[in-house]
Amino acid sequence: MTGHSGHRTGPLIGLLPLQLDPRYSIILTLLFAIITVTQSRLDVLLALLIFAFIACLLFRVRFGKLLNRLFKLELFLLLAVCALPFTMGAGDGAETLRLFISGTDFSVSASLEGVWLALRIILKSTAIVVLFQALMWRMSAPEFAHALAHLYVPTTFTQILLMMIRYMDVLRDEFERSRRAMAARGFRPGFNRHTFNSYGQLVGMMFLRAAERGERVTKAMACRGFQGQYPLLHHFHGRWFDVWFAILFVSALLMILLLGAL
Amino acid sequence: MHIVDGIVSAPVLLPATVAAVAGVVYGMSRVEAEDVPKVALLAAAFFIASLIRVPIGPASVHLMLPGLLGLVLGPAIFPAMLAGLLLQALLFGFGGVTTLGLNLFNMALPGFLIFYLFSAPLQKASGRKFALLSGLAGALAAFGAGLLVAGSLALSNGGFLLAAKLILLSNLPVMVVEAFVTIAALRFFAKVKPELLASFTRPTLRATS
Repeated sequence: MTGHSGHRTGPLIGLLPLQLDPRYSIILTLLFAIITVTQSRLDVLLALLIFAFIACLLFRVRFGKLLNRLFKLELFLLLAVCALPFTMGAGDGAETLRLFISGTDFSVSASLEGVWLALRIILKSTAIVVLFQALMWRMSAPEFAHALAHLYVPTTFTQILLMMIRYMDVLRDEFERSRRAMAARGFRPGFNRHTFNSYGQLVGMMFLRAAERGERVTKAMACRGFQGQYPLLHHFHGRWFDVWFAILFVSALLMILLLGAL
Repeated sequence: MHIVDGIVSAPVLLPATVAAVAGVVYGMSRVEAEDVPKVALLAAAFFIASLIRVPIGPASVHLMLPGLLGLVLGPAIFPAMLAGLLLQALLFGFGGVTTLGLNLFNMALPGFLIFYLFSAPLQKASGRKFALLSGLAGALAAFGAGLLVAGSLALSNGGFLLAAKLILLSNLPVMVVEAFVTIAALRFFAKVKPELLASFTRPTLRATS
């Protein structure tokens, strides 16, 4: 749970065995996402998608994992946007496609505006997911939290994040144990009161254990002289590679935007 | 329900993000250093509880429990849920990058409102009234989250009106599940550790020892 150890599917593709400094990864991903959602021209969005795929080729990415993510995303997106061409108002003078079913009087009209909007949405979210995979997939959760701490995110928050990462597996084990115990007693979930009650008690138990363990952790840590934050032992040192990559990344983005403005 | 990048328009996204940031800042100001482990552990429990799935026919829904989390954490629900959303994005790739604030707003705000409306009445109530209030808290929180998600889509573009209606419709069974699960969980608290219930009414989240 705390690492990228989940799915090791598919071969690694990509040229550079290097990992970008996590701080750079976070900032560049954020920058790319913000720029991408504010664009509306289809050619610019297509260029941004290609840009994201090139980033994937540069850094080593697990091909199967990328495909898996993309498949889930596209499925979700298609469900979300498939109705757009038919629901968008085909107002006065709006371009519409009219599909006639041959042999019948039945016809369906789809507004072009809706088609473009659906395409824009698909391009935007796909580009961001692909770039996220390129820059973020190798980052472990603790690395992410440390990088946030070095990016001046308030200590209280990074401590919550780190502590959460630390105890996630513990709580998960407890949860799996309870679930196995329920299964051993013949519990089978369904849409009924018995299931709701059982799950409610399971969740209640999990919350209770979590709150009590949190109090014990506070006391245990106070005994060891905890000052309210983990010392940050992991310091990041920006290498020239990171700086050059960031410059290249930003200038390529600017170039795409300039081409779009022409 | 996570909204991905590119769907929601800026006039919806920006105010929601600003409100979410304000919520996180406010929430963190109410968390004392010694409560950090407790908040983190409850956030982790919330994260894991969302892995529980309840089957509905051939499909299934997963638990969200924003109401329950709000009642236990109060204002700290904002930073706790943000931590959960960040980890979900990093580990499973759920949700979007630019929609992080919006998704936080949609789920944490109902939980926070439930805390304000229901924590005091719940403490006084018992028996059937307690169960009724708990169920109402669970259902309303789920309804609020669904309404905000549907609203952010519908306000972004009129073309999403149909999708928004479908979301509200599919939210109905979720409300039923959340109501009954919340009743059972709160009854469990009342029986086993009433202090956890008693800590609801205090605006600041202090260790109950």
